Amino acid sequence: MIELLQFEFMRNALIAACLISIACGIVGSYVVIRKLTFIAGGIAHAAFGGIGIGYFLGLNPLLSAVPFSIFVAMVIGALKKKVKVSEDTAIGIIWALGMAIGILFIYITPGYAPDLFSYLFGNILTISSFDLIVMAFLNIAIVLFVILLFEELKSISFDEEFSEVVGVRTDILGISFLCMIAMSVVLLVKVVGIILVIALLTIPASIAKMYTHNLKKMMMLSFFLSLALIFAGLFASYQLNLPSGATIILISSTVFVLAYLHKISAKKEAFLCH
Amino acid sequence: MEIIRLNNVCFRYGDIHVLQNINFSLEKNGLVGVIGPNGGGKTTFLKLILGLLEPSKGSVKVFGEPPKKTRKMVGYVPQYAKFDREFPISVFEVVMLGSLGSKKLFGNYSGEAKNTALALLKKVGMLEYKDRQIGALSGGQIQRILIARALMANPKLLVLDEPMSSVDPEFQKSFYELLAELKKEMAILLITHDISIVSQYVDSLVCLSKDLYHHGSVSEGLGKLEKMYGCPIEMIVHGENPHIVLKRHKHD
Repeated sequence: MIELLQFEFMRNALIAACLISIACGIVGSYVVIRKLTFIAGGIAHAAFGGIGIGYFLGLNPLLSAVPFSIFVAMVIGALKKKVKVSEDTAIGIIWALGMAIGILFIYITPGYAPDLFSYLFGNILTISSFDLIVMAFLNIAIVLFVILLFEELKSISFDEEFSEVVGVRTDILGISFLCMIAMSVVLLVKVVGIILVIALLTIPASIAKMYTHNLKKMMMLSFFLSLALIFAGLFASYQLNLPSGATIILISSTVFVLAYLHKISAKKEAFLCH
Repeated sequence: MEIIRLNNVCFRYGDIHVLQNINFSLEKNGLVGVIGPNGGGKTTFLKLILGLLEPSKGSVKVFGEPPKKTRKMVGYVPQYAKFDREFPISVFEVVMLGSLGSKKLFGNYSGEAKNTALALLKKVGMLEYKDRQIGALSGGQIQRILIARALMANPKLLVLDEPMSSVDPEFQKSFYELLAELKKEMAILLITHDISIVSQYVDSLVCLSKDLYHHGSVSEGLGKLEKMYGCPIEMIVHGENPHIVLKRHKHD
């Protein structure tokens, strides 16, 4: 493993793993406890629109995906409040619309889009130093937001109506929250691709939730789990010459099933002891 | 000062009229029961008072101001079934959330707030459970925690939305004893569909089913129930408590 570190792409991959694990630990925990998986999926797929626009304008697609995903998150937030369309219908439409915009812009861009596949299915080994800088800034924004508003975010996640009654600005926080998911999605896109983002955003946090009833501990555990799962997936994909994103998700899903079975057997044991 | 005043309040969801021409005022502390059939507008009535909904017509004032301006004087106990029992949060953390209104944005809870939370947990008899996960408690215990959370803001008006819906019968008595103690210091609005139990404990009764049928003494209110429910009502005695039941009837 040590000799792998002589390659810049591998060093970048390991740094990226650390950065995205922070997002998975923090934002993933909120996605799981607030049951926002479908919304996160919608934002992730719609982010492809931003990637397509980036290609068309000749920008780094990760940079164009940031404002586009945030815009999508705000639209979803506004639709939830204002429009009399069911939430899953609205998200489904935005999900497909974002993908369609991305495909159209890539189609009308002259030439060939060389690393398009890595945005769809992810490839942590293609992460550049510039990508790392973008990821670091997004992470700083997420961490600061959560540190400063931890109690307010916990409150709206637990009981939004009560939070509003005690004066928490649930409307602003709710949309900020979706923006935080959007930034995490962009962070994760290069690693596992927009199609698999949801898995990395939910699996480590769901496993963590099985083992703790404290939100801060859940975030920490989820962070370490993400890191371990990404490292394991990266190592396995390198050894077996498999796509890194898919390998990470396969390993994560297997660990989730094992953790779930462990939890069930522990519950049965406790029940029999009583 | 009037605690609550509703003037000609109407509320509708789309084309459905939920409340119409409601005139209501509450002037002194005490325990007020709000009863009515399912879909009669009880929860909407409560949400208007909390400022969570705006009336389609008319005005709502709480302590002489629009509800959104006086939220710091109001405590709210929602139906506990609304939240996820698996949520990773302890009893103490839940109670602390009640002081968010006085916490500075980007700041931490004060030591005073933490002491108040511990004192309230003691008051509702739940101090020993402070480190437990909220979902590990029974329905009645969770209601006590939610009351403690609502009391963190030191409210002058406490609003409870069907607190008995998931509570064991043996817990109900001690729960009402707690409310009886609290009503000395504040006005309490208790929304419920359990007519028989509430009629023993409340000081006055509000009967609501789209219209306000009654606001006043319990005995007079109970006399108007047949009209409000639109079917015969009978009071039977079973165990310690009188029960009110809807008699067998046919719908048109």
